[in-house]
Amino acid sequence: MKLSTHTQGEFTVAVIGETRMDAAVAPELKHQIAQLLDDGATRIVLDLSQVTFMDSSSLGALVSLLKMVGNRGDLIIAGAKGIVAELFKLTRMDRVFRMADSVDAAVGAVVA
Amino acid sequence: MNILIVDDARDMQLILRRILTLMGHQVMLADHGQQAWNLIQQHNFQVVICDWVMPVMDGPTLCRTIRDADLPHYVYIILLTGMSGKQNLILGMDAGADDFATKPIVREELEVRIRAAQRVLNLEHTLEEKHRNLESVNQSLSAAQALIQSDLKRAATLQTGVLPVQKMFGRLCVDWFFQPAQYIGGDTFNYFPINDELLFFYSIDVSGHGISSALLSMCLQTLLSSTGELYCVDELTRTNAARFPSRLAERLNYHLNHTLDTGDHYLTLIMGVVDTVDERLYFVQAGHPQPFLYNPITQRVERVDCTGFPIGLLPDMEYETIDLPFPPGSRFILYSDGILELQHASGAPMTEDDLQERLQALSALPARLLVSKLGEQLGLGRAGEDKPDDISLLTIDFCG
Repeated sequence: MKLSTHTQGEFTVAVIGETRMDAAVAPELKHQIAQLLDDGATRIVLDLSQVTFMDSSSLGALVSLLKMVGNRGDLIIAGAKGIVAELFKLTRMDRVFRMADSVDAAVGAVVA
Repeated sequence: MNILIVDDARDMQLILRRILTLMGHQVMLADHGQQAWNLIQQHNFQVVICDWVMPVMDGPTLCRTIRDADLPHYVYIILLTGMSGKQNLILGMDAGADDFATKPIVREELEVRIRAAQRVLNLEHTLEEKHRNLESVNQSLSAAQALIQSDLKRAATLQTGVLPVQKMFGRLCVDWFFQPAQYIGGDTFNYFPINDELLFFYSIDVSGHGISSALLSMCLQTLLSSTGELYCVDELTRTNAARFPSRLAERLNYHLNHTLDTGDHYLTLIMGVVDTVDERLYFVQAGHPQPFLYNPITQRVERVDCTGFPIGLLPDMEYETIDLPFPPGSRFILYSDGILELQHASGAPMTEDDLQERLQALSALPARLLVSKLGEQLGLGRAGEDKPDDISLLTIDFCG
């Protein structure tokens, strides 16, 4: 799975470089983000702006990551659009995750 | 090593034998290529040292004979040559020689060449062994895979076997299509009458594919059956029908988060009840694709705009029952998102709008025909066309 990370202020920004997030990607996604948490990142922004399809197993992976973060930090979903944004809405996960239109908005929103 | 010396000159045979025996090798002698070839077929030589010019059969011919034969092990050939020059080297290599030694024989040089032969043969031997190992591992993997595939095919058939067959319940007429993915997935559904007035139904999609998803969906069939422990906590009646779906969803969510270890699996569902006396539809939406409702007055198929938390994803979620009028002539259509992973012939993905349009166009048809026509349009049931996900669709018609 293509994933690039960089830091922006106190945030670790993880950019998903895949257009499809499906069962083939979910375990790897979970593993890599969990690794970031293990390495001490607490405030993570997950940039989904390149993702055009997400299935239930990837959504499940994101929720288990959110549980891992718990109260110790943030896992912010940035740039979800189209059917990806609809999936968050349909499953009401837009009420469970912090959602932001873009990485900049995510970083700014929390700082402000 | 077992080494064969092939030379028509007796003195050369003896010199070579002495050097090689001192090195600790077992040596046999042949006077020409034909005699050598006879010995090679009877004995197991690792190395053949062979003169170039000999009566009956010369060195290069012996080389070719060895290479053309399907011997069970590799034979390392050193050609002896008094002749020098590139042309001979090329001829010898082409015939299949591995190395050359020039006459007169220098002991140190021959020793080095024999040790080189040993290294090559050892390598060859290791490779052969690895190859044999790989082959046997491959064989057992193929056998295991064939077994799993036939098991999965069988399981997919069984998965269909638990689905309901009765389709008429008084004035309610139900129909469905279901096609498990190439390898079983987690879709399932059911419906059964509580009495003459109420019909209970659900459509479930367990996340992910494969054996664990399918087993969880089977497990849910048991949990939600009319005799299941979750269902039996309180009886579904017309009085509590408006609260029943959401309460059952909450209980199921609790059960999946606290009692069953579902791993990373969770499920989306729509579960509800039709009350034919009050002409109402009550259902709970837990992250399932939004259902369609055909309104007999406007004669339009409309998408019911509703959202809800999936079951088994997060504990202690609240669910609400959606309450809609369901007069005679209405039709309620539930489906799983496998349909939305299908593609048009153009490669564009199927959308909810496409499905809505198709359902609208087929809305005058009775349930049975709707299901068969739509299935046909979506390319279901065609041999050799496996779908990426389970496909299921359920329609409940309130016939007038």
